[in-house]
Amino acid sequence: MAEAPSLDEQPPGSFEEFVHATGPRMYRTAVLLCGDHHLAEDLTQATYAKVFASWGRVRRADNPVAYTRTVLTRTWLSHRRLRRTTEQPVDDLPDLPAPHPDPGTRLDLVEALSRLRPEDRAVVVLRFYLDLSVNQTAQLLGISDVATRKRCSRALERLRSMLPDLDLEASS
Amino acid sequence: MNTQLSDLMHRDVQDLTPDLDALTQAARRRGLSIRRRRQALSTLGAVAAVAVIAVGSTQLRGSADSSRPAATAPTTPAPTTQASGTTRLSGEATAAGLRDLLGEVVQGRATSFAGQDSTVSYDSYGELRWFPADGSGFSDVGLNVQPGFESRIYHCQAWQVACTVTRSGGAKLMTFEEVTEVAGGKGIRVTADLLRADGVRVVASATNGAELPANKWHITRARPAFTAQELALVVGQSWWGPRIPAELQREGAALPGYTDLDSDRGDWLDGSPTAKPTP
Repeated sequence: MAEAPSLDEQPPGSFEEFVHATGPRMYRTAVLLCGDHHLAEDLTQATYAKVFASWGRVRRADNPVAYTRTVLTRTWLSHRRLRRTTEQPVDDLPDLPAPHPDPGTRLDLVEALSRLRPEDRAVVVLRFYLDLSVNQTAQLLGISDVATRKRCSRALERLRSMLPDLDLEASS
Repeated sequence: MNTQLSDLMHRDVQDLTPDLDALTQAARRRGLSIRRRRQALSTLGAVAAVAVIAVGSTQLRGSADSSRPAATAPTTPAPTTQASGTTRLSGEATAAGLRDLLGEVVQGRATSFAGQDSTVSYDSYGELRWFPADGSGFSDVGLNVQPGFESRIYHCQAWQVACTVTRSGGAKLMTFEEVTEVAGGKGIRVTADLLRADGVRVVASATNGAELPANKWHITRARPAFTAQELALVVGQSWWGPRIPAELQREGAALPGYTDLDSDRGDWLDGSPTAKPTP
């Protein structure tokens, strides 16, 4: 996979370079969080706007990528207010359509993620897409390690129901 | 198929790449706007502080010398604006419009104005805390305006209480309640969700207290201060849309203590890594 080189250990040069190096991964993270390309575009743009507004501080930060990732996640959680009653997280699995029996037309992962509670979805994306530890995820979301594990477990349980061919045991 | 979740996530989005030049330019523009807003706010804050100090010291002098009348605060003339026209709906205008409409339904006063808007989707959100004039507990009220809604199925679901769906002239209105069992009672959020024939969706909700993180509530009253029918009147106001009367924007700009929910200033950068998320 052609990911941009990590900027975790080196300070970024210009803002443009930083966006070009980190933008694709941030955008893909946004798509997984939003489940909507249009909204993901807006979220990514809003994130980098905030980064630009504080660029002097961000580029001096220990880890500008982590900062940007945090802004992205927090902006998304905040952004949800705009659509609060649009995306109703479904708590009861029986309300969900059953997974399609044909594996070739199985439920798309992004769609399945969008059916999780947003807070649970954030945990899954941070843990399994961005490869953050439980502790890093907890710190970013401002919750405890225990709550993070609980949300993760709940999310995986739901994903397992929607995507039965997924090896979630190995993932968790 | 026996796929790791992590691998599947990477595979599902690996081909997605934004237009990085366009992203950089748009982020710069919005970032500059945030900087300008900050500068304006800090200037306003400094002016206000000077005014308060000046008035305070003058009044102190006045009280020490009763023969001299106490000074009054200098008044600043309102900036001149175009008398008519429309402007793009913003979070602050949404909050101002919401305040005006709620005041026509239940007497009271509003505080804690906040909101956000999107330059991409043109969605807008405004919220406030409403204290009824009868002295009963406050309600938190929020309102979303979402233009460009092509379709949405309105049907009541099991978790919705007292749910109704009505259709009229191409518009659909759904009202319902969400009830959360919490320590000390029930957290109630009543909602009116209107999809107009022109594709503008307007959703308003009111609580019987403050909904806190981690599914906790601070309950202030038995029921929200507004009924579903009253919220239906609020969402039914014809001015809601991507463009609103300029007057509403001026009202929004004057809201005391308005919080832009997207104005993360990065202050937590220098603080604890577990600093409170925004918001």
